[in-house]
Amino acid sequence: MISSKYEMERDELLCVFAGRLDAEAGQADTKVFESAWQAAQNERGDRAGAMKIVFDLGEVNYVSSGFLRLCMQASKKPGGNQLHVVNTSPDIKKLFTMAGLDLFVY
Amino acid sequence: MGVSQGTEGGDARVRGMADDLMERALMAAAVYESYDQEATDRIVERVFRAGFNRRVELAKMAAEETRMGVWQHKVMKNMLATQLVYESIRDEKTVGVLSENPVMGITEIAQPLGPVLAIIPVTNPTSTTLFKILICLKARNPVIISPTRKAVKCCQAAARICYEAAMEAGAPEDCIQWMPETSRELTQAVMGHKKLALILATGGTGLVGAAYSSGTPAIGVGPGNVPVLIDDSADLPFAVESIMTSKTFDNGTICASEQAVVLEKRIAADVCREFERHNGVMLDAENVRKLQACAVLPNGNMNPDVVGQPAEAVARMAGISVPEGTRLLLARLTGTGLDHPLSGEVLAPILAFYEEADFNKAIKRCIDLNYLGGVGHTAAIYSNNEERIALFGRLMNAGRVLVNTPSSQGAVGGSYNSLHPSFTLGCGSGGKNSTTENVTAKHLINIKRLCRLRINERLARFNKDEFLDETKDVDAVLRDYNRNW
Repeated sequence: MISSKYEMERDELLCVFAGRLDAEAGQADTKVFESAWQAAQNERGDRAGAMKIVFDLGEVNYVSSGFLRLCMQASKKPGGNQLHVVNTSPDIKKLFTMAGLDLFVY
Repeated sequence: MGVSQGTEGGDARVRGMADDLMERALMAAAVYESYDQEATDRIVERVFRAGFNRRVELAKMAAEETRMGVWQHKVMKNMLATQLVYESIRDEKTVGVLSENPVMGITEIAQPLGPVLAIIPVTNPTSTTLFKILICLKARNPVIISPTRKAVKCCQAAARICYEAAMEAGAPEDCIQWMPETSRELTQAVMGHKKLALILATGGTGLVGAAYSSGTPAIGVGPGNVPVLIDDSADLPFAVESIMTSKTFDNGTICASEQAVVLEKRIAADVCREFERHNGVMLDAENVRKLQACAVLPNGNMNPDVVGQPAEAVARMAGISVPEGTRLLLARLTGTGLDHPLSGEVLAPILAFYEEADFNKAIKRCIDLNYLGGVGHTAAIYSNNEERIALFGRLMNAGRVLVNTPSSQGAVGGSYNSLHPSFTLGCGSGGKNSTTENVTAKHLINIKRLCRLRINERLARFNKDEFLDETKDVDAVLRDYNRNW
């Protein structure tokens, strides 16, 4: 993950990824995401309702099953958060579709 | 008690009919297996000629009985099912020794499958009947025709014409039969009959699912949801004319017909103009709502009343006013799935229309449409950019990815490309099929292999104790196994 940012106004956690999200990157990204998510929770404070989590894959050319698991984890975070995976290439869109995770792809 | 007895009586009657059909089919199978290639080919030729000669009469019967489609187009389907199918299987070897390789010591020998149940869809009744009979007879399999209720007369007429011709050519009695009634119970009894060899199931999802659940091997072809992508390198007038030719053919009854056109925004205005030039009408949002309420049932399935109807009739049913001579209804959509009912398959002159910002977004839309309900079936692209064509071919999950080709006519093969002419389009594992090919006679034979002794010299010379020695790893074993003596 190259950056993450919580936008209070939109109640949205934006995570931008780049390059090859292989198994190694997947482990590192999971840790970074967990921290980003925790930080966002702290910023939100007592705010109720679902937060939107956006994974921007505009600069990603490969994803491993580790990253798909991260998507599953992100979607299952407590609070009914909505995961939006955006800016996928056609190849990565197909990969999500085949894995049955196309409902996350926008 | 009375009800129970009645049901049991009904069951016994159905079982009796199924047993009778199968007994006759088995006897035909036994006799037919003794026929040589020449005798088989004589029967197939006679049946082709008879079916071809009655193509117009059968097409008119089908259009009249089903109240679907265009009889002139059904003539073309009957032509394909006889003339082009016959041409493609005529010289194929389906009897006796298919190949002999003395070096490998393997001789391949064809043997028939046995009785085949051919389930016929209402959308292509006579053509599918003629087609399935020809490929079954070429493989020496007796066939039982099972039409849908709405197409009984025309299917039986087609089957009878073929049977009389086959008998004149010396075929075994009962090599072609048809269901004495069209009840679901009888169909299920025959599908699950232990003596049935194969079900060739073409039809709706329920019927194809029932065929797969019967325990009998089945080649089933279910729904498609064909996306067609037009990119900015395509010859737009050609692309639109080709799509019109395909989508309006027999009023859209072919499951390989385009269901949604997807294009880049920058060419949308030009493409719309071309569709209008060919009497396609782009509906406004209100009329799209009316059309989807009419054409798609609340459960997401297409409304059978619109299947195979002309565009003007569909518009009338939906309460939409369109100019006289309208050939196609275009519905601009922005999404796929249940919230966008017209993004699924409707076998009528209705075409979903998507404008996307760029090629990548367009191809992603096609992936959604492909996976929405037509996995494994067919997809099409109009482009002159080889890289994009290759990418589209790689990303679509379809048995047939057609390039610059009308998909209805292209997918069934024979007239626009070299695919096997067929009315049973394999959809691979995505469509729960064992093949992605256009099904033809070669799929209806068992190939047995006569294998002669050919010693594996490397294994014979190899010291087998090495397999038992745990200290020998794969490289050590392979070095000795592949040693040059």
